[in-house]
Amino acid sequence: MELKGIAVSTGIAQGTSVLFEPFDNSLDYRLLPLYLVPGEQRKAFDAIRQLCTQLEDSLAQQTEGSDTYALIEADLLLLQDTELQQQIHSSIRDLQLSATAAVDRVFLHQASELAALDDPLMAQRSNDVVSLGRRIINVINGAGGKLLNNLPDDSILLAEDLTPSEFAQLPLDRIKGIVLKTGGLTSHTAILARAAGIPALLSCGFEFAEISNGMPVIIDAYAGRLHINPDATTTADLTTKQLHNEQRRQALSKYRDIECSTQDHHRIQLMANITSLNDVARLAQFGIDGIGLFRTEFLLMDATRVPDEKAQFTQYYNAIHLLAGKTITIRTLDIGADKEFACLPNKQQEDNPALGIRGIRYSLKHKALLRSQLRAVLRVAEFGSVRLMFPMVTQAEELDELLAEVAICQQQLQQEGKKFGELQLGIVVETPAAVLNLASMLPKLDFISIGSNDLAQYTLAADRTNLALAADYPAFCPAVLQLINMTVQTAKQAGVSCSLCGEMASDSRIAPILVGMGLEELSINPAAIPEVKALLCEGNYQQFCDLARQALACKRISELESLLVSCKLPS
Amino acid sequence: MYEKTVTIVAQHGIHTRPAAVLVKEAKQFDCDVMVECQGKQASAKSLFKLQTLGLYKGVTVRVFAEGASAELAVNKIAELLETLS
Repeated sequence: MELKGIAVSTGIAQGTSVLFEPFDNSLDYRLLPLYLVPGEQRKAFDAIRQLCTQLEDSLAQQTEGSDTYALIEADLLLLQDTELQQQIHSSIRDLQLSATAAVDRVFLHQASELAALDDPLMAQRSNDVVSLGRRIINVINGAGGKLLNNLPDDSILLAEDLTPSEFAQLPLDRIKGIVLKTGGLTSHTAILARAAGIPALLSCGFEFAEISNGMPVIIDAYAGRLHINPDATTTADLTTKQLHNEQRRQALSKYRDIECSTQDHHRIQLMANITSLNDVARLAQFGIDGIGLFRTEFLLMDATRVPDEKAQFTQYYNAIHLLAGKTITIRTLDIGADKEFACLPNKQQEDNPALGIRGIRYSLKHKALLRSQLRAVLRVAEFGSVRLMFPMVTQAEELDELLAEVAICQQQLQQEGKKFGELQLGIVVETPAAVLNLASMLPKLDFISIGSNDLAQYTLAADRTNLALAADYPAFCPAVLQLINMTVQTAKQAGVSCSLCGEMASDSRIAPILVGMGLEELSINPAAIPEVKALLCEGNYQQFCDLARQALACKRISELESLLVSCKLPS
Repeated sequence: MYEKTVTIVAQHGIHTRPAAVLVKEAKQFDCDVMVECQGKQASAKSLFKLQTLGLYKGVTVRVFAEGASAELAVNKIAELLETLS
C-alpha cells in the first residue's frame, strides 16, 4: 500500500510501524461489587506508578530548567500526591466506582476547581489536569503506557497528531521516522521534526484500522510517500536510494571541521536556524559558524507562563556557553500570524493575522514583554558575540521606536548597577516595504537578515500556510529574487553586512545562486547544513556569480527551474 | 503551633512552577505545613490541593504547622511564598 503525505524533511526511513493510537478513554460506569474494590484500587495505583516511571524516563531526557522539564515535573508531583491517591482510593471504596470512573471523577473535580479560579493561566492548567487524568485512564485500559518505553530501534511512529510536548518526549534515538494524519508544513511539530533531521510525513491519510504494530513501513520523504508492507522491488529501490544518500552523508562529513570556503577561497558564513537549546547541543555535529536565527518565540511554546527576564537570560546564556565563542543571532519574539501561544493573553481575533499585529507590531504594544527580552539579551551580550534582530520591521518609525526601547533598557540596567554588553543590532527584511525603505534604516543598523519565507509570502500575496498555493507561488521566483538582489546591493553600498535566513537557502541548488548574488552569510536548517556546505566548498565563487547573473535574468518561474536542473554543480 | 502571615507579591501569583518548588521544599520537613488562603486550606506538600487555593498576587496567606520543626518549616515556606515568582 502506498500513501501520499506532505514531506516536511528529507530522507528515507525504513522500519517497523509503531501506532500511537487515539487514547482509549472509555470509562466503566458499572457499580462495583465490594469484593472487587481492592482490585480496582490496585489497578489505579499500578497505572499511576507506571505513568510515573514513564514521566521519570522522559524527565531524564530533558534539560533541567526548560519548560518541558517543569511541565513533566509538575505532572509527576501531582501523580505522587498522596492527597490525590487517597481521593481516588476513597472514590473507589465509598462510591463503588471502577478505577477509570474514579480517576475521571477526581480529575474532573480538580479541573473544575481550577477552572473556577478567576485566572486564565490556571484555567489553562485545568486542561492539562484533565489530560493527565486521561493518560491514567488510558493506562488502566491497557491502551498505551508502553508506548514510549521498549520501542524497537527502528520505530516509525504513526499518529493522529503529536503535540510539541509529546514530540519533545519521544526517544529520538529509536525513532527513525514520523507519520501524522494531521498537520501542515509550518506546524510546530513540522519545524521540530525538520530540526531533528527525522524523515516526516504530515497530512497522510492512513487508517488505524488498516495498520497494526510491527508492520514493515518505509517513509520516502523525497517523494512524499508512505509505503506500508512494500513489495520486494520497492524495498530494493528505496534501499538503494537510502544507501546512496547514506554514502553521500558519509562523504559530506569530511566538510564538517573545515571552514566554509569555495575552491577559489571565497569565505561564506554558514549559520544555523534554531528554535531551542536542544538544537544548539545538536549543532556540534554539523560544523557551523554560529546561530543566524534563534526563533525565541518557541520558548513560549508549551510554557504555562511567559518566561521572565531571568528565565530568558538563562536560556541565552546556556546557548552562548554551548557555542563557545561563535556568534548567536537572537530574534525578538515573533508572535502572531500562524503562531499563537497559550501563555499569552488571548490576542484579538484578526481577519488577516499575517497582515495583522505580529512581530514587532505585537512587541511594541506589549512593552513590558519586549523590555524583559531586551534586558535579558543586553545582559547576556557581556558573555559572547550577540546579535539582536527585530522581525517585521517595515519602516523607519518602527526602528526608531525599537532603538529607543533598547536605549531605555540600557539606561535601566546602568541605574540598577547591572552589567551588560555590546550588541550588534539588525532587522529581518521580510516585506517589500522593508526592502524599499532599507536605505533610510541602514545607517542605524549593524546587519540585516533577509527572511525569504515571509518576503515571498508578502511579495506574492500568497499565504505560506495555504497548501493549494504552494506549487504555483514558489519563493524561488523572479520577483522575490529581484527583491533579494536589491536588498543585498543596498546593504553593500551602505557597508552593512547582509544574511539570508529562509528555507530557500537550505536548498542546496539555490544556496550557490544566493552566494553569487553577494550574500556573505546564509542561515539554514541544521539538517541541511552538510549538503549545502559541501556544494559551496566544492564550487567556485566565479561560477556562483555567473549562475546568479543567469538567475536574475530569468523572467519566468519555469526558466529558473530549468536553470536549477541544467546547472550541474560538482557533487 | 507556629504560624506566620504573608502576602503574595509574585506578578502571576504562585502558579504551577513555583508551586512545584514549594511542594518539593515542604516535603523536606517531617511536620505537615498548612497553607490557608481565602477560607481554604491545603497541605504545602500537596500540589493537588495547593493549586486550588488561588494564590494570586495581593492575597494574604496564613502558614502554620505543629511539631518539632514547625518554626523552621513555616519560616521556609512563608519565605518562599513571598519570594517565588
